[in-house]
Amino acid sequence: MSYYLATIVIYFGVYGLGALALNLQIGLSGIANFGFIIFESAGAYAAAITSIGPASNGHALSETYFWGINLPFPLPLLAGALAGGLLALIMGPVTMRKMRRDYQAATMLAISIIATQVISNDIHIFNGNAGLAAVPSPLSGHLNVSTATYDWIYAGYAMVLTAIGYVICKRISMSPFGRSLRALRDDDDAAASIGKYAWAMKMKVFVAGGAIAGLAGALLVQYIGAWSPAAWQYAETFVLLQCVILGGIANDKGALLGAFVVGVFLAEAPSFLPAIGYPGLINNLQWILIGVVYIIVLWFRPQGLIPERGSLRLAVNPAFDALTGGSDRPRRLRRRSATSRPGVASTADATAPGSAAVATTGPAVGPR
Amino acid sequence: MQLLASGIGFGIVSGAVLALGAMGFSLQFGMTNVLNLAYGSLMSMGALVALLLNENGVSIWVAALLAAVAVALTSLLIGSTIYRAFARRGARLFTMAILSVAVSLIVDFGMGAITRSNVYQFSFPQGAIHAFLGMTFTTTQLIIVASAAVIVALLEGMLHYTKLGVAIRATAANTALARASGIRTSLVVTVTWLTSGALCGLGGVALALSYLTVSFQTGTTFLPYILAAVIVAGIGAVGYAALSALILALAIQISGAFGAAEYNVVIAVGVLLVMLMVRPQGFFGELWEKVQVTA
Repeated sequence: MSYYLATIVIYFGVYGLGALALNLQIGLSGIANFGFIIFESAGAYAAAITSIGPASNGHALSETYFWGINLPFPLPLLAGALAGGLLALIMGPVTMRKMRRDYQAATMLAISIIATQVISNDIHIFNGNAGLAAVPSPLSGHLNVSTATYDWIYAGYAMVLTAIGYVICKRISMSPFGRSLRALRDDDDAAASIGKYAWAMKMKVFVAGGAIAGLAGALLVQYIGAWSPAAWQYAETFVLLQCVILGGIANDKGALLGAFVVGVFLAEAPSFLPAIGYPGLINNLQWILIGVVYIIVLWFRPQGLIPERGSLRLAVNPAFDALTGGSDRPRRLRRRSATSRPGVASTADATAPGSAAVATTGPAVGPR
Repeated sequence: MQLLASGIGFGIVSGAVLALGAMGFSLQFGMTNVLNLAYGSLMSMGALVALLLNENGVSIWVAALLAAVAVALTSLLIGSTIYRAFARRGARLFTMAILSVAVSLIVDFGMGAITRSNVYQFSFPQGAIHAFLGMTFTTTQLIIVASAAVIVALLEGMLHYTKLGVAIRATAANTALARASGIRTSLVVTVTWLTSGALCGLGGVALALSYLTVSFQTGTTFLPYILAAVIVAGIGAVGYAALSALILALAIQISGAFGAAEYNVVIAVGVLLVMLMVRPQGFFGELWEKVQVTA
């Protein structure tokens, strides 16, 4: 029981950090990162190869990976954060350009799916589909404690990192920079008109989010000791996105609450349940449940359990706008036209009950 | 030279498969403006339905048609319930994309639960081998290529030379105006979901016939290629989506024939990124500025 609890606390830390970072990108800045899991994965692989040692160094398992080194305690963790940030720095210049938000989402999703295929197929980078195993836990040789005690120490360490991540995200979100990001998210043209440089701001957040994601990946891999493409399928991103949306988009406390509800109870706790049916049934049912919860949340409470605070647009639903407003709209469609007026915005098919809802979300995203 | 010929041969076959999927995606995307990320899941569904029927003694060609019908109906069901309900509430493009992922998870892992996450082999005779200019095709592959070509011609003819096609294009361009002009837009949307669903099902069967293995995630892992082909052509440019699918598949297969087989998949993402950098609206899309969801 104690083992389960410690594991759950550690998973809460990993999901919490991931959700905070994704919230920074998607909630605060409107970056539609549907490939978020690859940043966690980059961090996990980086932490693995910087703690596992060289491949040829008499490693117990015959694994092939392109490079390895055995660094002391905090360095693999930092390598993970660095790798996540670097990956974001490489991908950002193209994917942070101004484009339809659903295109950005599709591009990141495509990158995520293809990246999994490449790493699975090429055995020379990170041992292909089998992945890396026997990643040592930090200080496991130096701390002379039982496994149970070690798990609790690691859980405390995870909580400290999560708290640091929370403070960083909160500070960013409350700073003038965070306010600019919200303005950018809600209307990038208006933000640009008062001198905000959208691309540079998005790059900063993208890299910061990537680094925190890398940290989360490193934290996870050093605990579970193994990492393979099966652990970072594209669908994993949508567990984290659900943490953000259910908890309350653009709200850091919401991200942590979501990580607790979705990450711990929907995504991890079922693996402790006694098996029912064939092996893998629970896993499939879990994913179906996550899909169903998405539809329920988006329908009944799109602003999440703890809605975004401090928005001036209290009449409208700020969280829903965060998902749907602003840069959904291509640049040229700015003139007032019959089809983009709030109230008839969604479609000519919209009937009376629907158009009322459209009108409430209208003012913030409607034409100026 | 031999490598080049075989690369071109593979490219034509996988281009035909990709074209089937890309045309359906492009038609539906242009019409509804919903970036339907559940499309790959429905492709897997088509493949699995065809496999199931085929293993129970139905001829593969009949099974392919039945799978297309099944996927068309499912596509209509999803489009006219979930997507329509959210669109009427005023959900915009990005919410619809998240919603389509939710649908994709439900369909994918629902099939996973039914198939026990198995990877199935298609034990299906490929027919005689035909050599042609150094390229070799099996009979099955030739049938796939021929049917893709016929469908491109039929669909383009329908869109440009029939009343229904004009109604579809008008509704896609401006739903309110089309409705004001007396077009029954809800019927047109229904026809679009059915047509794109049928193409999706056929694409899934063709994908399974060319891979010869199928699992519940086959279609979703194929989605990046469809996205690349559709975005390069532009939203709603259905015929051009088929053309860009062919070119993309040729690029992937020819580079694969000359080595770097593990990395040729990266070409799809590379093309997508370059396109979004230089011309995000695609080469032939006319609906880039559309912001409404029609579902």
